[in-house]
Amino acid sequence: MPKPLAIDDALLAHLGELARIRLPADRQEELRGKLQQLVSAFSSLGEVDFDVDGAPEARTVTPAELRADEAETPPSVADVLSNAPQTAADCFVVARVIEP
Amino acid sequence: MSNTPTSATAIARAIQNGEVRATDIVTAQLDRIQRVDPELGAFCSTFSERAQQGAARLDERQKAGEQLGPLAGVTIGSKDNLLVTGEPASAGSKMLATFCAPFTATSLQRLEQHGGLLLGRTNMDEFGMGSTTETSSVQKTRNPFGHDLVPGGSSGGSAAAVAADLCPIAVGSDTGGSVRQPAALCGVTGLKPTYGRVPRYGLIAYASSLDCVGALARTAEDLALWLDCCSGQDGADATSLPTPEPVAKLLGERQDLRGLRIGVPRELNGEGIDPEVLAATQKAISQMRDLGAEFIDCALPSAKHAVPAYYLLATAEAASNLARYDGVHYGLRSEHEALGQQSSIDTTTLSRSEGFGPEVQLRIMLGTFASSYGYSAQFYERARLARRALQCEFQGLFEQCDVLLSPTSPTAAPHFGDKQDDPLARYMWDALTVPASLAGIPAISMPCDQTSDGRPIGLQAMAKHGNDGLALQLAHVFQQHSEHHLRRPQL
Repeated sequence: MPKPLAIDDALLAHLGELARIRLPADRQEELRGKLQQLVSAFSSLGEVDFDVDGAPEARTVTPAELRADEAETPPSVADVLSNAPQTAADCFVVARVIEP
Repeated sequence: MSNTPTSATAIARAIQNGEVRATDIVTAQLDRIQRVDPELGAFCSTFSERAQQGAARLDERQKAGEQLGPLAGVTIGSKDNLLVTGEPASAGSKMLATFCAPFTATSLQRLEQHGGLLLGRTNMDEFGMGSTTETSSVQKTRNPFGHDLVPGGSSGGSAAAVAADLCPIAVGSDTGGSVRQPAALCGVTGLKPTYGRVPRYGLIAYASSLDCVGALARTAEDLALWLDCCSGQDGADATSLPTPEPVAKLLGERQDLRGLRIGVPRELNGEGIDPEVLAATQKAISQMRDLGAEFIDCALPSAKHAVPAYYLLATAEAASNLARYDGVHYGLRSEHEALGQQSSIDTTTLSRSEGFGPEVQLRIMLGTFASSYGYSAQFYERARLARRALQCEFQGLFEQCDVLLSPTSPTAAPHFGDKQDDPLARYMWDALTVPASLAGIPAISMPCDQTSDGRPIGLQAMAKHGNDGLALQLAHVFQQHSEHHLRRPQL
């Protein structure tokens, strides 16, 4: 039986960075506990021998016919910006990425 | 409401025949919502003006002798993750608390084109992530059969609305059981169509390879009417299927279940299921046998891997889909004082940390883990294999059987807060519904009994890919010979 994977501080911080989620310490601990429980339980999939070689491809996503290659009227600037939390000069205001 | 018809089919017929006015139906439903819903919490808000104007137009057309659509005057609730132009759509999340939809979802647009009247948006678990509607940031929704009971989820508001006669049809979405499970817990009928049969355009995404627009109603007959009105290809959804044959006309073709081979997979009819639920399923099997069905004991071995596979795939897709909530384009933008001072915590991180609830954050983190470098081979790829194995087993079973049967939920409606801190135990509640979701096949839940303390119990029927009509037909025949679907809560 392989040792269960541990969700340690470094892994949790890495996942938080990828997911762009950062929580206060108490919530972080709770999240770690739940994540650990799920990851440990779901590790069982790694031990199963799924024999699907040669099986017919099952249908899950069945793409429909492609639509005609015709230009459509794009939404107006006002529509696109209508739910933006912050705008300026018909543009989204984005997060600062370069330090002054 | 006592003198007006309550099923969608009966309402549409009465309006087409001029026996009742659409405006009277809308007024009666809005009055009932005002009386009953403050306690229940099924609707987040109503579209009163839209519904009343639509009803007035229908009445004028009826008076002018025009042919009305098959859903004429049928009031419809729509889950809070389906867009309706000019109306709020929050997906139950603080993240989208102020979002106003710029267009209408294809599925809802089609219902309106057929005479349906959108009545309001119904409560749901945040982004569809939950099985009790408790993760909604909007409000609490109670089960009409017991106000201390959850309505199920994530389409809990839609299920409660139909059970309480606030509308005859409510649209929901089903990613891993979010239509069928609340239908079972609230004593109504719920359909998850074949993946792609109803377009997803305008549905706020959770897990794109699993998301299906579905519906809840009191009867399979009303669901067939709904399905015929919104099925079919949509240029805005590349996964939508070509327009299929209508199903409503199939319902009258069968009076009993003779010639139907029904499989009962052992893995979905035994371990982990409440004895009262199992007994109710056995009773329904016995009734169906009396109606002429032939029963086949069968196996679906990969079903035991369905919960891990589902939660790894769904959360990986969710982590990707929900990356769009960045605090810039739409949705909540943090106003935290750290912004602008600390470069390591940016607008996006703060906005997502404030805007998403704990369950959504947990699932995003799990999905990020499952699909990240170093872990994807052991988790995401294994989950894909498990899904494929399950699909193959379903294909094999449908060579021997026409329909597969199981309980919809392992238990009847639990109380608020049950297993709140145990995500694995909560996810296991979905063990009977996620297999059909992973396979993309149609599945319907129908009321089949109640527990000794009066909580509804649901029965699930699954059919082959594209054979939604057969699932509906089976439920319709069962409902022609039973009265479980007619049982109403005391409100």
